[in-house]
Amino acid sequence: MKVVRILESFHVAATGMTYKKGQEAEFSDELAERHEKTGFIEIKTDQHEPVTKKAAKNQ
Amino acid sequence: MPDNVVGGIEKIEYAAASLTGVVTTWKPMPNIAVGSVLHTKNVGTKSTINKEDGARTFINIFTPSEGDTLTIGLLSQDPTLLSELFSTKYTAATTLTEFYAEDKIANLAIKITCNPMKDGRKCIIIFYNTDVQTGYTNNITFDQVQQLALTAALGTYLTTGDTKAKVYSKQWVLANGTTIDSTAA
Repeated sequence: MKVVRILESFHVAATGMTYKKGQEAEFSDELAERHEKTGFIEIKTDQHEPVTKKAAKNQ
Repeated sequence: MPDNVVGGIEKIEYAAASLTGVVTTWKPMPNIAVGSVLHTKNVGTKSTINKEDGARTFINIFTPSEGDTLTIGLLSQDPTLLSELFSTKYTAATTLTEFYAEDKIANLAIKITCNPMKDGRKCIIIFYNTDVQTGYTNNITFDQVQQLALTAALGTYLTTGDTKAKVYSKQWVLANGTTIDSTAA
């Protein structure tokens, strides 16, 4: 998951959600990646756990 | 899922033509005559070679057509727009427009914003490179107004990074203009 800031309002047909300019939202990695390309969002925080921590968990 | 339909006109705007499909500032083309806007998609002609041993088609040959056209009728004659469409000399101080003898082909980009007809979505159609010829239609009478009759021959444009020429684009947005992400879930 990623915390993003909306730079340009847009609507996601699949979920019916409309995001307004200036708003902050939590996006899935896929949605964030898609709209980083369109320039509609700016990623504020990557909420992924650090790789090292993940690796430690798996052990 | 919502449907994408095209109908009704909210507004038409114009700008200088763009060969790269980029226009930042549009000017209004106000007072569109009802039922005057028509995008004609010309289709090539087909001829067929049949086989001697029967009526079945052996091969179809398609001859390309002339380019597409867009026609627009305008009820008002704004001097700024007149100067784009005709070769004119405009004196703002006296609101005098003088029309030169020479004909002008206006090289314009045209943007049509439709009304939301279904499911709260409206269509924006953009023609980035058109050659517009302008004439008049309607008698000058008490129950009609003289209309500007624009006939735009649609040319092509090439966006950065693309190798195939394009003629126009259609984009559906929400009624308030919000972009729609239609990626399947």
